[in-house]
Amino acid sequence: MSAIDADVERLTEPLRRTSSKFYVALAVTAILSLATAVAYVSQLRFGMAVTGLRGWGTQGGVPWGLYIGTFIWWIGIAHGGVAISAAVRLFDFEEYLPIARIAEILTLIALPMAATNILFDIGRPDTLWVMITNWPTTVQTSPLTWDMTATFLYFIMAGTYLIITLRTDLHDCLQRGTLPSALNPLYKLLLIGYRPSEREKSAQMAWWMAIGILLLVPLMSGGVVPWLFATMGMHPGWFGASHGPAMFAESMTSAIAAVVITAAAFRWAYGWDDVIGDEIFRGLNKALIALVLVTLWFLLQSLVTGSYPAAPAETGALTQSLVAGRMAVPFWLAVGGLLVALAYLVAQALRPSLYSVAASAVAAFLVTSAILLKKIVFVVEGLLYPTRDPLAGMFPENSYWPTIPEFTMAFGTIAVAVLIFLVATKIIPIVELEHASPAPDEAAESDAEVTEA
Amino acid sequence: MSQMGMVIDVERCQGCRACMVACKTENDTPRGAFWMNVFRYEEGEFPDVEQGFTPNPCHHCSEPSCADVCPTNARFKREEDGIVLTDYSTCIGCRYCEVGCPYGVNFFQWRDPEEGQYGFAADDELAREVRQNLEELDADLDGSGGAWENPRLQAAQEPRGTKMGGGNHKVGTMGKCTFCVHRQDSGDDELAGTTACEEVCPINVIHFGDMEDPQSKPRQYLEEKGAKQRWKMLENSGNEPNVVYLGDKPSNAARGMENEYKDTDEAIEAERERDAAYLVADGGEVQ
Ligand code: SF4
Ligand code: SF4
Repeated sequence: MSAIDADVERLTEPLRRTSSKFYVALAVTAILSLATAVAYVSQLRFGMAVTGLRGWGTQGGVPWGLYIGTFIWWIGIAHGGVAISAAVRLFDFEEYLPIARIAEILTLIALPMAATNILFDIGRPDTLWVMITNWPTTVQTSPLTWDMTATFLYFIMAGTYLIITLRTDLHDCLQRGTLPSALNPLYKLLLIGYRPSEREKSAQMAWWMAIGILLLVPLMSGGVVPWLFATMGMHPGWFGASHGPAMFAESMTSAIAAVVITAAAFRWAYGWDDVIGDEIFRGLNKALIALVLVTLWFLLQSLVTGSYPAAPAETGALTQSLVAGRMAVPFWLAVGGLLVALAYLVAQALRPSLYSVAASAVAAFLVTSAILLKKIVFVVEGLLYPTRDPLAGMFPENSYWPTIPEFTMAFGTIAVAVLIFLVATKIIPIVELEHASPAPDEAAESDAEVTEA
Repeated sequence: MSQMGMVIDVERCQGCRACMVACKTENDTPRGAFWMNVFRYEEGEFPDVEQGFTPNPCHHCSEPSCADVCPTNARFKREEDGIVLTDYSTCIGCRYCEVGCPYGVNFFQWRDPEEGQYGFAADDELAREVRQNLEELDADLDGSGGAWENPRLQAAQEPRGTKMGGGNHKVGTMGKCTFCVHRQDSGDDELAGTTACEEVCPINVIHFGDMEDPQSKPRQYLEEKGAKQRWKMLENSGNEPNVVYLGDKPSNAARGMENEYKDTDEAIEAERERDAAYLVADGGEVQ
């Protein structure tokens, strides 16, 4: 009995056959990635003056913006990805096995993209190593140090986790000769010391890793990342204890949405209608309904508490600006995106005839874009109304509008991520083969199931 | 242990902003950066409107929240005199200190210092001409390198032996008021114990010195003016600031009188239009 209704031959198809769709996607993302690199070089050359960021206070700007917003968004996606895979392993959600590795790879790509946005944001990347040499003292008080530490730890854990589960697959594939031979040295490296008997051991290790990862996720997505902001009491909209859970909910929401999009893309690209079956999308859609609701509920909390006259003055001003002021357009766009997606998700749950993978992918796209926008608004809003009275009224009003290089770089990391994903599909099997059916010539009877869809 | 600080008598302050100019000249800070900044504000409604002025330098807090959040220890509090400094050699330019300081006194170096200060790092014809003029001027003087460079600002500061003073720090790092650390460390008795803003103030609003020492200028002044209203900015913030104000405190309804300060980019653009000679010599024609 196997959990994935497809044979190994079909699942390793991406490794052997490359369609023209693939080349188009590769070209587009490569060009966009190049544009990102060019924009970064110009920022290095001309200084951060090429961004729309400025000092808050007399310069009337905000010192953090698009890069930091995009950074939190990537961190959120990173946490969802591997969490799904860990949950699948830990709680035996067998039907989700076909997307487990996709989710893991998403994490492993999202984390460096988050780090890249931090890199974009700092003025002196050449001095970055100082963070390591000063780590023992800065880790005591600097939330940014906590964040970098946790991200690194998480990357190592997620990477190890992927490698553990990958080794068996790679070994099998090598024996069958389904891997591109040009990359043999890489596979040899990944398989150092491999013995077929490690199968059981590695399953156990992966299980423990999964527990570790699931414990770390709330600490990061709902902990060190929101603490970057929530500990800064002078910035209304940032301060408070509920940001942890709120941000955790947002992160999970956009992460699941990202998994839906990626899974739908694979299904479409390789005709894997039977491999990544409808029940997976229906299940993820259900999870999204719950998560979008939780996200909206947290939003409602802050709106209600901020709109009452008794709210602290700056918090009131900020809420006002979100509801009907300068931040109203991006804010309501984000809320609207969530609501429209929610409407579809609920409708397809009530009326199965409305369900389709394409529509689910669109809804997921809306959700994750809305959350990206929400994150950016979150970073900026805290700095637009930055300080306490009497300073608040004496500084000029702050404003912020990102520049083209800034947009190119922040959103360019999405193109870079897709590019890396595309390349990854040519290197490793993207669906766990261990649980797949044997190849047709080995067990002809499983054919019936495969063709039925 | 001493703790440098200031007593600022806002009752005397006329809002002339000589201190802001003195600070810019002394520290060579980039355009748009005001390490010393004087708020000009008004309160009340017509016809009962009152004006007030409040200088707002870095408060060199005893519990500096900016230093807490710094991921590299570049921002730190110097033990010997309590001055809060930025080590330009280790700052990674994350701007967390700026976000983590409630006073709005941090200024990032957005451009190359030369571009930031003079707008001529851009390699266009005007920039080259200006630079050439300046170099000639410098050769006429003493040829120490850059007529615009105050050699005192290039000095290294203890305890780390790296440059921590001056607003001409490298692009991508953070700057702020240093209590004229280059003066404090100069070994020159005339300069140590003074700041440029204090010195230039025509009506002795600013009193700089060791707040722990009862004989210091600020403490003596406090004693003298014992009866005046005494307050600190954002006293409840937990930062324990070391700038003490005397006189009326701006109320929560205080409104700044400038809606905006001149935009840095516009200032640089405006200067591009000018005759190159204007930037170096004594005025020239403004076009
Ligand atoms: S005023 Fe701001 S920058 Fe200055 S020491 Fe205090 S927290 Fe740091
Ligand atoms: S900008 Fe520099 S001084 Fe400020 S927190 Fe970052 S590394 Fe520290």
